[in-house]
Amino acid sequence: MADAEAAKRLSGLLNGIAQSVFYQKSDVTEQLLKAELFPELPLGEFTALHDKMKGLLRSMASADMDHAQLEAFLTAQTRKQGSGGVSAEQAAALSRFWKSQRVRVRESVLAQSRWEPGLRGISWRVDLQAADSQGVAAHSGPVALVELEVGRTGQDSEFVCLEFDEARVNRVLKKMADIQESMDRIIQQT
Amino acid sequence: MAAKDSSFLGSRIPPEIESMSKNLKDVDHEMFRKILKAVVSALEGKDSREVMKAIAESSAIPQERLSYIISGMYRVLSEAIRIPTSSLKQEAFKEDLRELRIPEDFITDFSSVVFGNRRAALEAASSQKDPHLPTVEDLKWRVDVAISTSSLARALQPSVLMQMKLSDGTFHRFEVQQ
Repeated sequence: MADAEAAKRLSGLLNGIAQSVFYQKSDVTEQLLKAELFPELPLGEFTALHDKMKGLLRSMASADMDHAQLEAFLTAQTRKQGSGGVSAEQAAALSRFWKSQRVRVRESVLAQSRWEPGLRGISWRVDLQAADSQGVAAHSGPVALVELEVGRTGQDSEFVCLEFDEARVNRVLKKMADIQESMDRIIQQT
Repeated sequence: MAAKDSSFLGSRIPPEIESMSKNLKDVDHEMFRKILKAVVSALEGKDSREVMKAIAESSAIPQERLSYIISGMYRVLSEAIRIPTSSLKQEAFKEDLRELRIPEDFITDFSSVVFGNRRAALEAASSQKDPHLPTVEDLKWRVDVAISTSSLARALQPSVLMQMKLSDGTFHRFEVQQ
């Protein structure tokens, strides 16, 4: 009974640390976690526990550990003497946490390293100009209208509306082909 | 009055053209040709302010009357250009201008602009004035591979950084992920 309770509290702590460190939820503070999960633990002891778990999670995230790496890592931690080590229960909690959160943590951490706005979407439509205020547009061809959705992580999108004639579309497609070629070369090399 | 469809200018003659025809009697042929040249230049999208200023300064015609003449001439030409040559024939155009009591010499000059070899350039310039969205003038790109970050020892994530320069002068820079 006590074990299940302890396991729950540890899981709660790991999830709480992840919220703040990886998922950018600044309202999940250390004080909040203590109050919710370990109210009776002396502050010094809680801080030590919190910091140790945080450090371990950071190492796991940094190395993006797979199952084998995680096992080896946690085993080494449990073998450490003194307060630097990790208990069997803690190792189990860390293992459970990582199994479910690994991918999400990696995605989140990668997103944090992107500081330029990202392309979130493209919509397009091809129009044929029938007439305009300058007269019957017999000499204009089809026009592509493109809307780019662009935004930074966590911020609202900006919409950039553009138009392209056939020549411009071809120019852009050529550039895309060059980019694809460049990326294929890189993928082959790594 | 011979039965004829309404003028290429529509059933109501635009006011600046009415004013122009009243004031053209004070303009000699040489002056008319100078103004016409400047108006055509403006229609082609060139900056004609200096030329117009020079004309105004060298002419005895009062500024206000001159401005009616210039805007009227501009309007005659822009209205004629927007109608395809299949719909407005040279003779009909000349007839319409005769009804405005514009001197025959001037009509010939107008006609040679509308139906001559400068027409294509005028049509091209006027299509620039249509409502348009910005176009991409230049697109630069770069493929990056993030090797590691402050939180990730081995990232190895390729991404493409793009910078677009638009026809309205703005720049947009953004990343494209796989």
